[in-house]
Formats: sequence, structure tokens, C-alpha cells
Amino acid sequence: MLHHHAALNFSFDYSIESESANNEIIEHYYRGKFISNALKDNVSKNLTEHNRSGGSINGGFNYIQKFRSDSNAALLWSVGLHSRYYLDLSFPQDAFEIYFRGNKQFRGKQAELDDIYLRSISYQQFYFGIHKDYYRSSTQSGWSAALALNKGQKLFSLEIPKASVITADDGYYLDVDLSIKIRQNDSASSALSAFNGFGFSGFLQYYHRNKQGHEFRMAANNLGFINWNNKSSYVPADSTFRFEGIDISQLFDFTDTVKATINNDSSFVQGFLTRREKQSFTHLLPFETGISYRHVFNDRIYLESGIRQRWFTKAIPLIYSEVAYQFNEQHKARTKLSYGNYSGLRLGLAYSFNYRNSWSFSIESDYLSSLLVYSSGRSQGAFVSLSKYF
Amino acid sequence: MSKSSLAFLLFVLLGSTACKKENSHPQWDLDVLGPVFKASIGLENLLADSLQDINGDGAVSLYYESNLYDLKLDSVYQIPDTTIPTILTWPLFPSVIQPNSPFYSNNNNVVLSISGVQLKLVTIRSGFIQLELRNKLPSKVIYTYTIPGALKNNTPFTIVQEVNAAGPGGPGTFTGTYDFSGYAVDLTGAGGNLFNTISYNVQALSDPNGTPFTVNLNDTIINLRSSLIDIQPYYAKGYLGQSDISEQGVENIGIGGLIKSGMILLDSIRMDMNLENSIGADARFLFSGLTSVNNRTGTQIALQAPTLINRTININRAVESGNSADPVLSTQYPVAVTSSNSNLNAFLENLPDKINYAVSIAFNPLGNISSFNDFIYSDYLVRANLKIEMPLRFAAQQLVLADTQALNIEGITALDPVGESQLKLFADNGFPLDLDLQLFILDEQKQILDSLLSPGFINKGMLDANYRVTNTTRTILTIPLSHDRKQKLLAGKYLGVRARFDSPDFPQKVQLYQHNRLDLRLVADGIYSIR
Repeated sequence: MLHHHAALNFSFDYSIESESANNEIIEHYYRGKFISNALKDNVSKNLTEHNRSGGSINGGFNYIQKFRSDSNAALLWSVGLHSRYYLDLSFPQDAFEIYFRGNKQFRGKQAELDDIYLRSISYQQFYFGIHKDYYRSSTQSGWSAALALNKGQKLFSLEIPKASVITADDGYYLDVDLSIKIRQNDSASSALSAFNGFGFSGFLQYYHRNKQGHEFRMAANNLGFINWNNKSSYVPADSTFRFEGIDISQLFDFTDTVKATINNDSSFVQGFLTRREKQSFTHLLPFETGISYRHVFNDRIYLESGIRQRWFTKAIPLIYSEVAYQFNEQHKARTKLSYGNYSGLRLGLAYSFNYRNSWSFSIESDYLSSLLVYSSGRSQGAFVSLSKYF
Repeated sequence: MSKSSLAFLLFVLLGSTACKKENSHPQWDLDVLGPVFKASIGLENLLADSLQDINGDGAVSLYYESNLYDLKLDSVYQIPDTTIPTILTWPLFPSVIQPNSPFYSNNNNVVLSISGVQLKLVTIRSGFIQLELRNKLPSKVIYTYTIPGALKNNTPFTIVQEVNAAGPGGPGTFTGTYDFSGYAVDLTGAGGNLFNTISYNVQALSDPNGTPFTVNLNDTIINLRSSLIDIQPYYAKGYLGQSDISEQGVENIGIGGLIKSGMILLDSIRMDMNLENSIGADARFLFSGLTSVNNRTGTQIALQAPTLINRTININRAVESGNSADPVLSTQYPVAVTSSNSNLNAFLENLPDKINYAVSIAFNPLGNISSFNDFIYSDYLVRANLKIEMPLRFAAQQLVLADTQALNIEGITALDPVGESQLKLFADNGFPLDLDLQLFILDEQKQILDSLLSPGFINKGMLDANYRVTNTTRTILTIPLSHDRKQKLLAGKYLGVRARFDSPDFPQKVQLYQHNRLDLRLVADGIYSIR
């Protein structure tokens, strides 16, 4: 509910979560630092048969303004522009080991690489929304609806439902069984300004507050899609092949004086990935639903619990509970306990500062506990927001 | 600056520092094990397909065929470029010439400078006739140049060309070049009783639309130069004379270039020399010498073969078939040279790079017995075809094959990410020969940077009682790959391959079969750095 006539808000948030990869290796990977065997060991001990990881980065602004307001209701409209990135990853234990340690540990054995899933998407969203608040004698309720235009910037999608690699005991050959689908945006441009796809999303929220101030809220956010253009590449392959080395027989051709040219790509990569197409395709964006209940104890303290689910991703439901304490008109803090999405139990903290009812600044992290034990923590993230009220 | 602003700035600074990348890509090391290169070497890598003959049981024979000697047409005769001037002057007292008045210069015979033969007829494959006309008369003149004996589709060669009248600047002139190909040219002259002689006519006609003009004694009526240029005959008939052609030449074999040293003992060899006469004239061959030359050792071995060397061989003339598609029925004379009637084994065991030959051919040793009915087609002459066939069955002692290939490896991942590793060369030998294989990395000057195999001994395949391979034998050679060796590989421009062969139980001979193969596979076991 907006007490002011209008508000302009800037926000930025990021999060990275993993069931197995800790913050240290993620940081090393992102910053191009050397990943030692000790770092890999710290991850390996957490690996299960299937492992999920995910992340997101969002940044943007939105503006909301009252259209009309009286004692019974208020109608507001809003616009906003956000740039979004999300990563959704699922992989088996052997995939991590082969990727980071190599295949030598699997000599004489089969590395199981089934069910590798990776989706990395960058897109921009411009939305327009309408909000309505209803004021009754003892209750208040309201709904919000918004429609967004999605501009697809960058896409990389990898699906490997079935794969295995057998390394001969003496390294004499590699047997690869692979079913793979790779999708990627038009390679000509992946910059922020690139228009590689187009789509729509919808947002819907509803809340109800009783006279004690207890509030029930439910939301369905970002139900939408992006249709990537017909310059998007699609590379499917389903094949079994044995790699026995690059053929250099012509180097031993004593009958030929023509120079021998060896090309490793032509030896097996091109031979395997024979089907490369350009085609458009549509994918559904992460769609989040949630319900929450806030119990207000007094003017200063409330307890809120809720559950959220991010559909069309590998995330599991997120459940959380948070306690907020309003110190005074300016300062407010929250502590939050949550579990789910891509990682386990974590403790978060939030702080907001209100300046003369004109500015508001918030900073929070749901992953404080993981950040404090950085080398073993398997999640991190932060949210900052700055609002101006008119 | 307020505390809140300062805090905000600090937050931004810390955040940006935390996000700063040390390198553009993540980095780690992999322990890898897997095949890198493979090669399957069979006889097709040592011998071109054209040199192999496969028997029913897969036994390979070496088969070599070449035209050792090919007679060139210009060794028999050739038609040189010839320029023929034709000048006709007014022989009488001054006269008035009316329009449309003709002047003739007919039955002009020109003897072509063709030596050694007496030709009655020649068919032109390609060539040109160039005409240069000069008109000194005060009237336009129309010239008609005809070679009655040059027929194409039953039409004689005729050129009609008008030349403008002479003027203040000088005589009227014209130069033109005409295609003479496809013409059958009678060379018996205007009377039909000469040889090597072309007959032609020239008519000059005063302009039919012109005005009368006066000519005086010795005024030039016709001034014409005709030239035969680049005349290439296709067919000629007449008497080809009693030419005696001697030639010495070289046929490059190249075996010695491949084999660098060692001893080889060959099995039975057969060499067939087929002499073919496609000329319509009797011929007499004499091979005065065939010498095997090994450039590396300098050894020369002359072939001792009484059936071929220093033996006069008479070959009858060819006959015309009447089939324009294949106009000649050649006469063949095969001569067989074997290990039993010659020193052919020693001749080839010298591993020659080339064969020097000396041959002489005499035509019409008995004179003009055909009464000028000898013939010669430019595409059907005389040749000596050499065929050598021997089973690839031999005994080898320290026989070294060597070759150098330009190392042009594109697309291979750079070796920089490769750390300390061990390479293993798996050699599955299906040849009945022990092999000492060496691979050298050479620089631009072909100097050795590194030798990759030490030792490089590869055992022969498993043999039965007949020295036939029943199963391959695997040998594993280890090649440590240090940083230093890696740098040399990167600097290499050539790959030198040297293989030293030894057959079992020398001088026992072993047969090579089509299925004999040497399979090589290089496996890497080491560190690969992702950077």
C-alpha cells in the first residue's frame, strides 16, 4: 500500500545457490582465479547423485503513482524496466568430476553423465501495472496486475538427458554415448541492446489484511515466455561414437608429396555435431508463485511465513519465516530463516532506513549465514533498494 | 560529505572490487587420459595404387609400367614456317586497263623445306596462312588466292580480298591471317609429280566499278607474300626416308629416393619390353644400353639381357585400319627379360632412382619398298613400353625408408595447456618385419630438434611356418613429454620419419600381403590446464 502520491524505486539483487558448490569455488570460477584440488575436494564431499545450482541477477527501476484515491479505495498505476539474468543448472556427480578433474579417474570405468541441464538467460522486461486497494471498516485488501514486454538478449541452453563416457583402462579409446540439445541466441550480437527474442509476462497479486493487521498475500509473478528469433542456433545430436585419436595416417604416406593437413574439428567434432540448424523457439520464463501470512504482534513486531515455488526451473519450493522489528520511524530490521530453491537452511538479515518519509533505503541478504562461513557456505546474495517518495 | 553518502560510496567501491576479475577465464588443471593420434599404415602408404597388383590370396606384387621411350614426330619430319613471295609485273608496252580486267599467276609451285622425307600428302592439324598484299595500281584490286590441292570438305583453300588503290601515301596494303587447320594438302605440285611441293594460284581483278587506268612496262600487277605459320601435321603420306634416330634418355623410377640404405634381396622378377610401331614404315630397333642408377650410392648396373640389349630387332610397318576413330593397326614386338635370362635382379636390387637408356631406330632399312605409301599419324608413332612385375617378396637387412613431411597441423589445440605428461605409442604390427621407427622433429632448415622415440623398436607380427602373419604384435613405446620437448614440437616445421626394416631369418624371403598393416596410436596421460 502506498501512503504517498507516487514513488520511484531503484533496486538491484543477485543470488547464487548450490547444493554442492561452495562460495569459494564459485568466486574462483567467476573471477578467473585458479581452482585448486583442495577447492574441488570441498565440493566433491557435498555432491549427491544429482545436484542443483541456480542464480539470478536483477536490476532496474519502477515508478508507481496513485491515479485516484478516496476513503474506500485507491487506484494506482505503475511502470518499470528491469534487466534480468537467471541461471538454472542441474548435473550429476560424475559431471563435476570430469569437468574439473578430468577423465583419468574414470579409467576402466564409465562416467555417468545423464541429466545435465543448463539454462542461462539474459533478458529485459518493461512492464505496466495497475494496483487497486480496497478500504473497509475493519479490513483492507487489494490486487495488482501487470503485463510485461520481454526482450530476449542472450540465451544458452544445454540439455543432456543421456550421456556416458568410458575411458579405456590404458587410454586406448574413449567411448562416448551422448544425447544432447544445445540452443543459443543469434551469435551476431549478445550485447545489452541485442533484440534476439520477444515475449510477454503477466503478474498478479492479491492481499487481504484484517483489522488486527494480519495479512494474507498470494502472488503469481512472471508467467510468461520469450520467443527467440529464427537466427537462434539449435544443435541436437544423439549418437554413440568411439574416439580413437585424430587420424594422421597421411603423414606416413611415402607416396604423396602433398602437405598433410590435420584438423581435429573435422576428425570428430564436426562428424558428431552434424545437424546444426537455425530455428526459433519459445521457452517459458521462471514463473514464481507464493503465499504468505503475516502475523502482527504490535506496532513494532511481526512474524511472516510463506512458501514460494519457482516453476519451470530445477528449484525446489522455498519456505521461509521472518521476524521484523521496527525500531522507530526510520529504522527497521528483519531476520529471516529460509530453506529451499537451490540450497539448504540459511539465515538472512535485512535493514531498511526511512528518511523523513521521502527516501527509503534497504539492504538485505537472505544468505548471511552462508556468507559468514564463506568457504563452506553454498549460497550468497544481496538485495539493495533505494526509493524516493513524492 | 555525510556519513550516509560515505557509507554508500564505500559500499560501491567494495562491491566493484569484489566483482573484479583476475582473469577472463576460470583456471584449473585436469588429469586426462585418452588417445591423441592414430595412424594405420599399409602398403598403400608405401606404394601408390598404380604400383600394386593384388593376387587372389592377397599377396602383393610390385607392378611398374611406363613408356620408356616415345618417339617424337619432329624426329621424323617437321614442316618449317615458309614465306612465299609472288610478284607479277606488266610485260608489255603501256596499256589501258579497263575495269573488271583479270590478271593471273597460276600453277606456282613452292617446295617446302622438309628434309629426310618425300611427302605426297599431309593433313594439317593446326596452323595458319598469312597473306600480305600490296597494290601499287591506281585502282582497287580484288585478289583471289587459291591452293587447289588443299581441300577441306572438298572445298579448296580460297581467300578473296580487295585492296585499295595506291595513293599519295603509298601502295594500298592488306595483311590477314587465316586458319589452315583441317586441310588435306596435296604436295605433288601443279603437275602431280613432285614431292613436298604446294601449288597455288593468284588472280588479281581490277575494280569492276572503277575507271580505266594505264600500266607501263614492269609495273607491278601482283605483289603478294604468303606464309605458312606453325604448321602442325596430323597425317602425312609418302616416303619417310631411311632416317636413323638415336636417343639417350632417363626414366625416373624413384625407388632409391625412398630407400636410404640397407640390403634387399628380391624374388623372381619379370620385365617386359614391348616395342610398338604405329608408323607405316618398317623399323629396326637397337637398345644399346639400359642402366640402373642409384644416386645415393652412385652405383650403376648395366642390364645384361641378350634378348634385348645390343640385339637388332626388326618390326614390320603398321597398317591403316580405315577406322577414323582408331586409324592405325600397330605392330607389337614383346621382349621378355627375366631373372633367369638376365641380371635383372641385380639391376633392380640396386634400388634405382632412374634408368638410363640408349636406343636407336632406323626406318625403311630396305628403302622405298612401299612406293611412297609410307604413312605417319602424329598421335601414333613408336614407343617402347616397359613393364616390371615382381612379387613383393623379399629379404631385407637394415633396410631404411625415410621421408620428410611438412608439418602442417591446423586446428590442434595449442600445446601450451599441456603439462607434464607421458605419451605412449601403441604399435600393433601386422607386418612380418621388425621395425625400428624414428620420428624426428625438424626445424625450417630440416635440422633435428628432437627425436621422439627412443627406443623405437617394434616387433614383427606373429608368423606361421610360411612366414605369414597370423596375428599382430603390440609394442608400447613411452615418450615423456617435458616442457622442453613441448617447445621443440611447437617449433617444428617438418616431421622426419625413418623406418628400418629387418625381415626374419635373413636371407629368408617374406611375402607382403594386402592385409598387412601397422597401426599406431598415441595415448596421452598427463595434465591439461584449462586457462
